[in-house]
Amino acid sequence: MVEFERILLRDIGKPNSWSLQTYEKGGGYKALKKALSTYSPDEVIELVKSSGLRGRGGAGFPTGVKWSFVPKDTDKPKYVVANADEGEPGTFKDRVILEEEPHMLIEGIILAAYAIGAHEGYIYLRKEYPLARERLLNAIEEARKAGFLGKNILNSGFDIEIYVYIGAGAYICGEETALLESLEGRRGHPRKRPPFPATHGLYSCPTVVNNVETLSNVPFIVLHGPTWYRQFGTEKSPGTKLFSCSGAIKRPGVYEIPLGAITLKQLVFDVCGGLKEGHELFGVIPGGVSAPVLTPDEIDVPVDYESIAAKGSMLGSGGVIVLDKSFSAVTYARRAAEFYAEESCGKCTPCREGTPWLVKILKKIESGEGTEEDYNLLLDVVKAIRGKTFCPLGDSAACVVENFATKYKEDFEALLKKPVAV
Amino acid sequence: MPKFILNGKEVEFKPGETILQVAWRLGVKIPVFCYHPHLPVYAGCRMCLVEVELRGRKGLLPSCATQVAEGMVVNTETDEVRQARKSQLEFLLLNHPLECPTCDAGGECDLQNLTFFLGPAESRYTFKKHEKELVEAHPYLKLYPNRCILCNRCVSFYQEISANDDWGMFGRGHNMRVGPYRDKILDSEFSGNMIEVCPLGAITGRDYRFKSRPWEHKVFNSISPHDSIGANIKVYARVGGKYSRGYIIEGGVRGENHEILRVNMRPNYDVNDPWIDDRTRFIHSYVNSSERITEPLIKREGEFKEVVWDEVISHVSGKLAEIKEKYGSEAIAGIAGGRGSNESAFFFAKLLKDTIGTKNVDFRIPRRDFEQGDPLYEVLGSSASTAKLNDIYNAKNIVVFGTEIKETHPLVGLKLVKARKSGARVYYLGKWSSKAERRWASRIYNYNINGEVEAALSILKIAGLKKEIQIEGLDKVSLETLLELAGLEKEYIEELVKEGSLFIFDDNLPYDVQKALSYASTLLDGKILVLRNAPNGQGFIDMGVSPVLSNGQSLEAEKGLSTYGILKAAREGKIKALLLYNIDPIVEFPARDEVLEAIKSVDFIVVFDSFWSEVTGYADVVMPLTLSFEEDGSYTNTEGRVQWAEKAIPVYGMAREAWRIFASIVGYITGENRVNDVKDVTEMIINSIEPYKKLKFPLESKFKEPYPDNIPSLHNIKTVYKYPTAEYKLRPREVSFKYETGEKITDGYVLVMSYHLYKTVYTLRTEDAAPLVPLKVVEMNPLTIRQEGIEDEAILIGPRNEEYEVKVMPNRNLPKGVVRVFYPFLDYDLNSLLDYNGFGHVRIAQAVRR
Repeated sequence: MVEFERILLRDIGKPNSWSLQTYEKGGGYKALKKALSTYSPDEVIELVKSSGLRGRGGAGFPTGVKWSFVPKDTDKPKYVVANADEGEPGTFKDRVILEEEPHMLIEGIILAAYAIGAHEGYIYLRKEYPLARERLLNAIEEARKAGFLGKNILNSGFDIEIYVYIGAGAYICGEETALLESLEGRRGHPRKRPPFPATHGLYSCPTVVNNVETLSNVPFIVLHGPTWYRQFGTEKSPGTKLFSCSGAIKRPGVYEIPLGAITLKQLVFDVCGGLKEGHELFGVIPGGVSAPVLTPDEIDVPVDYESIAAKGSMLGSGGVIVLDKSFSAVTYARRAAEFYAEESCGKCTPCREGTPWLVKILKKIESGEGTEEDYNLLLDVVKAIRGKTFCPLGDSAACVVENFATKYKEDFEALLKKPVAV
Repeated sequence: MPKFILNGKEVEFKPGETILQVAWRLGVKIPVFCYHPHLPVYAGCRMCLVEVELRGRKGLLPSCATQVAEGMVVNTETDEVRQARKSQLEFLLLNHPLECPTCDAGGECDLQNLTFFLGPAESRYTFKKHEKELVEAHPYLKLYPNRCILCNRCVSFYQEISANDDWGMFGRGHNMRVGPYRDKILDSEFSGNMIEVCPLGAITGRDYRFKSRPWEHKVFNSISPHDSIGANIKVYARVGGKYSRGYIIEGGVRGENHEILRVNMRPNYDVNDPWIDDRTRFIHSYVNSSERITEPLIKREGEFKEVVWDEVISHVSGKLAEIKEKYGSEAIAGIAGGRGSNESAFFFAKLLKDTIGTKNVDFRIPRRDFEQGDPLYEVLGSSASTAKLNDIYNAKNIVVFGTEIKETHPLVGLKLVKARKSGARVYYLGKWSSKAERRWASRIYNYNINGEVEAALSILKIAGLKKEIQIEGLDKVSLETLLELAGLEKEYIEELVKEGSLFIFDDNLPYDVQKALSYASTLLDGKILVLRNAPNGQGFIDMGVSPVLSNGQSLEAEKGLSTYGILKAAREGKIKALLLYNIDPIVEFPARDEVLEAIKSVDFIVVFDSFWSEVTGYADVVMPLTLSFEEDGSYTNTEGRVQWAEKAIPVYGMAREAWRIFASIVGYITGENRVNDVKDVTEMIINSIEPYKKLKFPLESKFKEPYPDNIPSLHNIKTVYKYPTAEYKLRPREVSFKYETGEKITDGYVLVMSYHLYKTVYTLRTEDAAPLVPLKVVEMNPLTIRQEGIEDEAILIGPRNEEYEVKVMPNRNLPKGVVRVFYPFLDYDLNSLLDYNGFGHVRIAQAVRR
């Protein structure tokens, strides 16, 4: 089995890994002290920029660039929001950080706030992580007592407060603008962009929204510098990435792997120990349900943003779902479509009306009642949704269904009613 | 100007414009559902997707939400765009019921029209449509959730424009629905606007439901008769037609099918924007009330006899001439209700002032302090607002004083919401405050029930101190005393007295309040907006229906009696003839007993009115008047805007326009030629009334907004109307006050007269308003109710131990010692307990147990 140095997950397994004591023993809050004493906010942004850190939530947008969009000359308050609404099916990597190493996130938030000049940070935490909430609140309390939070932290003259906000259980609130709406106490509907959150975010004020894993990378970049950071990963995808692997594999779990260091195939068969006895590989979803499925002959590809995108899928959140042949493609597609139909926020027509229609057609085909016409209608509806929705949710639904329907056409055809020869 | 390419042509745009705005401006049609020019952009329906190419990237973008950028290439008619529109229509029709034949919006429906032009002809949906339950959200509204396409327009209006929160979106995905929170009746005076912004028939109005097809209507441009904002409205009346049940005989008597079907807004950005209030929209069937007076009547031997018009005119003219001969013209007086047209008011004043020669004419409530004259004139040299309604949008600091805007002038509330949202500070000072004020006020201060005058004087005093100006008559009383009597904190009032403030108050407030606020506005370089309580109050002043003014800006040579003075003189037997035009003093004024005594003391009472009422019983002659929907005429709104209302339906019975009657009497007495055309009267007004001299006929001008024809829900905002305003000369004058701290009521229950949106002389004459009219209702603080052990009903006991049975409703906004009673007093005679200022004193002796 391949082993790599653990950066983010270094404290996992240590007793009380979530305590300030353990975190500081491993070098925690050193980055913050260093930043406050030696770097100006702009220098912190520059460090993150040159580290090449990319957003770990799914889109892979360069984090430093995102931060540099925040206007400097504004009299409005600024905010940092940590997106801890980890709702993508198959993804549970942030949970490990939130539950086991909450201080790493807190330090990341403080550094981000220092960089953009924010004095308030919010952690938008999904309701389904009660343990994370408890540990976060504890950690915030510990950090405040140690002087990392509050007024004039570490005598630097910088003020920062962090609040935990619990979501109400909607998948769409993982989308950054819907998250902000929800955080403001409104319905979780995505906002139109532009303007982007960097200029008009929380309460219409400049806001940086980052994934938990992204923010947790920041202390290491600040402490050891971009050059050190770039020794991991590839040129375009530097750093390590957490992969949450699930499915019918022998060793499911969260693994930290430098981007591009191994292939998806190695990840499934070496790191995760391959499929369980009696199961046969059907395909691999590399980045949470929203990423198109890769067939067994497509998975010999390095796990970095570019390589997987080249295969027509995406690295996304790093939620690797290994599908096996116990179910047909129709069932997988139906299951995914059901998720999107359930989670569609209802704002735009194609997603609200289209996703339930997809489910109904897929169910019809699954039950053996479908015909060639239904299969074609399915692809038509996919086309009517794709590229026309307000936010990427509807797009994802369409792409996922289309992927299963075209890559595994034979599975579908096997279930279609044949026209009876007269 | 920067340019981009739209459908192959190079086109200029203003920075910030969206693709849709530019396209519509140039006549390029883009279909929409959720977009509405007066609502925030939602971008949810995806109907307006167009192909946009910028810097090598190409894709479909919602044109309503995409701002044009230099170098953009936009195509609105590619195959992909057309296919996208078709797809959206197919999606929207999946669960849309086929109720079009019985739907109110049939023929006026965006979904119908756009499907006709762009949509698929067949459905490929073979599954069951989902069904949602009908929602009754309001006595006037019914929601059909199955028809709803979730475009969010109603929610945008309700939450953003009216700043209310009990209507919204629920659930998500395909379970999403709009509706009221819980099953409560909507707490809104603007809910009807949701019918108009709805692109299809999901929200329907009670007055119009299942009544007619849109092509049966004839549309008339009118003005709201309910308040002095003068909201522009369209009156939809039934006209004859092959499939119509109704018919109209021009100029003839009204048939039973002559009805007003509905009232919609007419956009006028100076007055009502594209919104109207629910009272204006839903309360119109009083025109067919069974209480309408149908014939001219003369009382002979104690009984009314129907007579022809000529007879009644000659009778009244003769009688008036006789009384003038015998007792002098001072023995004749006239009180008006301020509800008629300018033309009628003009001739009312002409009849009394010129022909008979008395100045005893007034339309105001009988406040004793109004005897002093006209409060605005005394300060400004003209009796008119110095601000226009839209100055609400320009002001940075707005002080609303003493007026329950929600009950009397609801549309001002919408303007205040917009003002506050765009950064103005809006203060409200009142006896009490409710949720309605909290929608638009940034700060609310309640003064003591009887501390109104002191509250206004403290504002003036602070303004004077800031400007280092001594105010005559106020130097003896200290600011601290005033504030203590008013029950206000100094720092709060100091905060709201700012340079350039706009003061908004109504004309029923005490004389000193109006005077003080007007004066404060001149000191602070600010403005005032006076909300006239009578629907045509400004018009009546301008026409000279005033004992002190001959028009809005000129003083009479000698002063006549105010309403209070007339009633007092009548009780003393000095008034021999009294003309009551559109007013029943017995039910519309406080101090019922004294008013009644006054009425009984007058020898000859002529009532000009549309409805039977209490005073008609004491009348010697009764003449039936038309209502505003039955006549042409101009109305001046509270800011001085002169607006024209068209006749929509034939007259009821033998009713006549008031101006025609007054002109006939004038003609009969003087022998002058009678006037036959209302426009001739308007001409006379323009020629003789000073502030109106620059007006030109026709008063109305229109311009068209470039909205596409195939979107019916935008038709109502396509033509925008404009009306001119009267111009008043300002001549600021020296002001002094005669303020003395008087004795204040401190114990027991104080009866306070106030207004209710749905309790007016019109709403009490129609069943339509019934669910919302507080009949025989008084309101009290729930704590007081519990303390007194009252269950629903109670008996109020007056100072002479007279008993009044009333229904008691809880209102937690009221101070504890207050019993709130509602004008007008058609349903109960609690005005016997009120003094001329609208205050009274009661005991609550026992609770009625069932």
